[in-house]
Amino acid sequence: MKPRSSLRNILTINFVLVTILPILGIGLLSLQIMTVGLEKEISERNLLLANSISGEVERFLDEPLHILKHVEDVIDTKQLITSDQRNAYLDSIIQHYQFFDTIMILDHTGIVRHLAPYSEDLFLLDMSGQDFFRATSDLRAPYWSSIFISTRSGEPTLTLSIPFKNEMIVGYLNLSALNAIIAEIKIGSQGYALITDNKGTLIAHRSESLVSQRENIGFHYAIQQGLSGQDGTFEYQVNGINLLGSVVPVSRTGWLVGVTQPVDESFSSVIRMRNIIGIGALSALVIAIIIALFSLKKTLQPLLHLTEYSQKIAHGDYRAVPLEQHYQEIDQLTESFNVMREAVNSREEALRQSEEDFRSLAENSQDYIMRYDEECRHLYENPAALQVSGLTEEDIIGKTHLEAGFDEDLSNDWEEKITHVFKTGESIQTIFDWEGSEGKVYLDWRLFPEFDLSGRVKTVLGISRDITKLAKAEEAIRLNEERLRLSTEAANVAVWEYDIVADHMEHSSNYDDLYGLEVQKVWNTGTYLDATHLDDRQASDRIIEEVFAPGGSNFYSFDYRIIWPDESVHWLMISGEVTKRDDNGNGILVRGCLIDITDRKMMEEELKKQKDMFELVINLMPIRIFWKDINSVYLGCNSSFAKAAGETETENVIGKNDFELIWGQEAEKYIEDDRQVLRSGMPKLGYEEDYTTPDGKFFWWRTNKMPLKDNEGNIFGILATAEDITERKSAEEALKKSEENFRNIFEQSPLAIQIYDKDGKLFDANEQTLTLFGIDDKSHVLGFNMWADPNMPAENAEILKNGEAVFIPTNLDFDTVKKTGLFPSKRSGIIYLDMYVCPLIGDRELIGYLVQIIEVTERVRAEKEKHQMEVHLRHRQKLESIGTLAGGVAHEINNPIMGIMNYAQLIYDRIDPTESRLREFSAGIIEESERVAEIVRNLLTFARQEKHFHSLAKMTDIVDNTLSLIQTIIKRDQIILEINIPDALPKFRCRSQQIQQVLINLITNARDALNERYPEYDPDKIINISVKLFEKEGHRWLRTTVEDSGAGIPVEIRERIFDPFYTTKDRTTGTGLGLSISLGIVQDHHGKLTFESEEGKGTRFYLDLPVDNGWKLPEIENKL
Amino acid sequence: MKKIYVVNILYMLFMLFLMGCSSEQPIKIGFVAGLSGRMSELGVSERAGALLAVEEINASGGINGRLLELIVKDDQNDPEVALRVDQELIDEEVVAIIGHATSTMSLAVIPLINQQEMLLIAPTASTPRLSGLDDFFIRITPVSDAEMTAIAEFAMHNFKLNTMSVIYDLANKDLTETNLNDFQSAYESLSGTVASTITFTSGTNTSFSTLVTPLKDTKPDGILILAGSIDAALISQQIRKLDTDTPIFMAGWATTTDLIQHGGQAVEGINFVQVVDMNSQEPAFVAFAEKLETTFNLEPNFGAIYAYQAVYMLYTAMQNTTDYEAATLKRAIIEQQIFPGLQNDLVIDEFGDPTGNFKLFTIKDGIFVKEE
Repeated sequence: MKPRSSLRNILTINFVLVTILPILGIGLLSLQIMTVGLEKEISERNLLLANSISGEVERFLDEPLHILKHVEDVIDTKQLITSDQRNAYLDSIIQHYQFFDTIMILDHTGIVRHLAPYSEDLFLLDMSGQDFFRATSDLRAPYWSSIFISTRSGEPTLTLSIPFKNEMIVGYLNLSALNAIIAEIKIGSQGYALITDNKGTLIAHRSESLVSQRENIGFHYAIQQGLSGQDGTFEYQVNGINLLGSVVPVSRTGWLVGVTQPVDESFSSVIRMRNIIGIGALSALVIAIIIALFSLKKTLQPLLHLTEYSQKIAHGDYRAVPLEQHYQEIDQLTESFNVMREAVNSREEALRQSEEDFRSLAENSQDYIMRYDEECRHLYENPAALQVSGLTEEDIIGKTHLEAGFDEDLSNDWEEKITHVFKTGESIQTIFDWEGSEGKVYLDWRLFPEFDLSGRVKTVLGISRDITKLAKAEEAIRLNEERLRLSTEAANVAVWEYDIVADHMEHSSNYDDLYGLEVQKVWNTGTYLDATHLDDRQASDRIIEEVFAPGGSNFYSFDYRIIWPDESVHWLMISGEVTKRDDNGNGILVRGCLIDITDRKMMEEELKKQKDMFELVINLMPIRIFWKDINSVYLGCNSSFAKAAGETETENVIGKNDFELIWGQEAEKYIEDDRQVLRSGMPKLGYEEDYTTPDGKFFWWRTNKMPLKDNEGNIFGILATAEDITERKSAEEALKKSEENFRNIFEQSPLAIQIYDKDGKLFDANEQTLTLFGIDDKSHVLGFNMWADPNMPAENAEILKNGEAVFIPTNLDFDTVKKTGLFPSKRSGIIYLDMYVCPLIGDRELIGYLVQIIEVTERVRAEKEKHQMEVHLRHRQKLESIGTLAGGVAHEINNPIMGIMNYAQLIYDRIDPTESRLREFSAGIIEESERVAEIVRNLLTFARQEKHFHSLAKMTDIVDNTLSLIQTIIKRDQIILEINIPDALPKFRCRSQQIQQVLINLITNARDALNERYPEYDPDKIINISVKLFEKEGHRWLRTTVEDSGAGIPVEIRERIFDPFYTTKDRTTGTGLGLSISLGIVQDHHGKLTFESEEGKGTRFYLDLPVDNGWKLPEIENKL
Repeated sequence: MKKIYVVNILYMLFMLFLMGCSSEQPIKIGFVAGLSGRMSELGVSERAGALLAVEEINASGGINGRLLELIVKDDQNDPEVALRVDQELIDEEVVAIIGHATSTMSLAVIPLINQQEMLLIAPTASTPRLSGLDDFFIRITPVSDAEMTAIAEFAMHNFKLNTMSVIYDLANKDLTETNLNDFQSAYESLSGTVASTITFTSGTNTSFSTLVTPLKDTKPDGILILAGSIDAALISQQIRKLDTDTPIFMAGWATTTDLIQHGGQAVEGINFVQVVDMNSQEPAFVAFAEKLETTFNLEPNFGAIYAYQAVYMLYTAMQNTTDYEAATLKRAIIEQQIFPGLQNDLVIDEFGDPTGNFKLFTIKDGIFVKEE
């Protein structure tokens, strides 16, 4: 069975849900969005990276192929070299291209015929067993071997073999060059790139030992997919770790490039976010539960007490239990409950009493009372009935008349009547005579139906009365009345004498006038009695009876009303004297007079009515009213005052003073108030005073006292009213407390909460609102119009009116706020907000709006930063791809250049030394080719494919070296050089040649800028170079500033100055590679290259380098 | 990747009620061999064989529901490294170590193994110096004194060679010198003469052409090479440069793919003795060879076979014991005595050394074939 919900639980849960749901909702939503975005981004980025590495590997492979083809061309196709020159030729190739360990020429049987570097052991060696020999011989095409252990070095090696005619050229490739391609690729802290051969054996890996151990990872899912020709990003598992791997094949060799990253790391930002939201929701939950439990305990406590109380009453305990007063609603409930309790109690008591009365009435009645059921059986018969029938209860109860032994005919007649009443529900009256146990009696028998709740006749009640005596009494009265007819004569005062025995009245002739009657010929008491007003008949009868009774007073006088035939009411005063009594003392003759006193009576009546009304009003008033004489003795009060004074009747209060009433202890205080009023003659109004009853009840009164003055203005007493305001006071108190509770929740909420009235005017705002919006004082913004807020579009009004809430993610620029004067704020900048507006509906009508705001600037900023990083990354990728392109082009050019140089060398070697001019030409070709080669090398530097060794260096030395290189140019241009380098700078890790190159670039640019502005000498033609050490995020950095006072960089080209091949200089002076190479170098060093520039004033370049960029020491790198 | 959404939501909902997930930890087994350098071919093959066995066992449910985890280490054929990596494996609390590939490495670590009471199951360390000892060393390959005796007998009886020169590698001298002695005594007992011995140390830039020059003068009837595959291949090449006829015998541990690759024509027709046959048509062996090819792109050789059987031997012992203490495992192996092999049953004596029947093999058209 489902247990019924408890109010407390529902309130608690609602409160907690209201707190938690928005946090969870927003949190989960943003988490979801982040996850989806991140997932797509990582896949694409890694695949892009893998593609670019694959491209690089292709180019890497291209070069050896070109060179070996070139060798083949020289040796075979063009027969330029004789057999005995081959070893020397191969030697020169090896020296030029370091990626070859060995180059061999095999004959068709696989015997090594030529090789460089030469080795006696390898010469004439039989290579026919080698895979590559068989494969190349079969394919008759260039062949890339899989990885194997070189006989020469004992290291894993690859060969490239090209067949020609009967021979084969074999180049042994140095794998470390491949490793260099992927070595510096790091994705996050754990991601890396790798290359495998077409069988899944590692060729390049960040852990070089895995390569030398010929680790085969072909069974990794991503690699499997890659080897089967699927490129893309896959999720897979290795040793229980989930990885995200992107694989791209190298088309030339079937190798595979992989970029792999642990899934956990890829999604670390999501996981971090998830933790933050989780912890936030948890703490909100805890706070919400604490607040809810605390406030609900207070709220529900009285209700629980009331419940206990009601249970007691339900079990019949009607004693009043005092309950503490807390909340207006509950107190009202308690109050009503108490009233109900009293009503039930008194009703029950009354019911019991009435039951008793009725029973006693029935038991003692002279009438015969009986009750029948539907079968006409007796259910009850009172003692009188039992007596008259001479039966006992056992004889008759549960039996019909016949069964009880009554006469059959009578019984049938009776039962017919009873049945009739049952059927019709109408009562019946009948008179019959019956021979009872005490002789024949006349009975007036009435039958009444008794209905049950559904309106059906349940039982029939029978009452029979012995009317034998009644008939006789009636007769007697009739006679008496007749005798009373005597005394009816007088004009206004009629004199009369009445013989009771004879019921005869002798009266004066005006007697009938007083009754408004014609002179009655015959005395008829009834005429006059009937004329007596109904309300007065009883009283007058009573008086007369008393007088006539034995021992009664002989004199009497009373007023009564009569109704004339014209229905007008007249007052008569009768005075009489019993003049004769019989032996028993009963009056038998009386005489007196009758006077019309209508006029006086009418006046009295009027006065009494007024007094009664006055008393009624006073007594009905809930306000206590009392009046005292000048000695503070009570002259009167109303009943509510008497009740408050602990008295039941107002009379009990009169004549007492305050000391004698229940507040005797505090009487002095009241009497002092009285004196004050009496002395001053001025009323004291509306003051509140407290009062504790002797049994400890506490009351609040609101009292007014005013002096009572007679017509002459003399003070003769005090009139006072007192109102019990205890309830109102305690209700105010409770309200205040509850208000305080809600205020606390409101003020301490981490959300900025505002309450607006229905016109959108700010009604209240919590502390957080002031903090969030930088408002000094709440009063500055109260009345602020919600619809004036530009973040609050008017169309929301309609939604809110429909009772729906609105969620508005928005931002607020405090500068705009200041400019528009929206509200006064001390904050500045832009903040991001999540606004949650909901309408407050009371009584089906909009009464206002609740606005909850939370600042999400940090989150939005983080998202923005991420976006900026993406843009930056994309730009970097663009630069890298240009670099890769340049590198590719460089490779392409490098090969023919080598050919040109080689051929030129061949020409040079063969020309007779006497032919000096031809030798000069060929030397010229060599020289020019070398220049081209130099440019190509620069391009390769830009593409970062040439690795320099790095070392610990001092910035001072690097600057000195740089200056020694370019000082002459600077001097020639009459530029003033200011150097500002402190002595104590730490050594830092760098490739000093490259840093020098960067400096040369910056200084040369500065010089060009100065020359542009000042073609001649100028005192302002200055280059300033300074170095300083600074710390950022816990790392030490060196900042080298190169500042010139030159022309400055135009705004429109600032974006592009780091792009490769972008130059503003003459094509002959600049290649447009200077700054892009510099940027590449600096980024390689994990540094930053930035600048500030103002047109016409100068430019300042900042070269920031970390002191420790995390590079290994050069010795270790040399070993590797 | 939809998983991550579900994970997010579950994580949020159940953050309060995090329950520790109690999955069984895998059983760790160590594997160590020379995986880099000139003699790494054998180690790489053994690693493949061992991994294959572990994968098969895990696919069939592991041991009592617990999976096996093979922790691979490279001893770089350096005794110091071997000691270090073995200690690392012991520290990682492996149940037993499969390794090492060579006798020299095995001998170097024996004191450590016995002192730490760690079971060492060597697939291919064949030195007789480790036989007959009741220690924590068990091996799969037959002891090499029997191999030497077999070579001496084949040389004398089948090839009628009366004089032989022996070329051996000092880098593995714990094996090669013992082999030389065993061969010499067996050969001399058959009235053969060891005409000369030539030594070199692998990996030290030895010029093999110079090394074999003395043979021009010695002119032995046959030559025995006790060296790893690459060195044996290069020595054979240099011998064939001098003369093409002299029969060459080789120690079994040289006979890997590298020998054929680097030896080329020069190793055609050389002889060696072996217990396992690479051309066997036993179904278990054929299946094994296929798996080795598809998973690791390797052809089977004795190293892969023996490492595979070493893992299965350990597996059988672990199934029959409850605690995985070295002594218990060792006793279980000795008591089991016979283990089913890929080609024939492996029989272990009371000291954990197997016995075997050597047959004569040669290389023909680049593959190992049994001589009838």
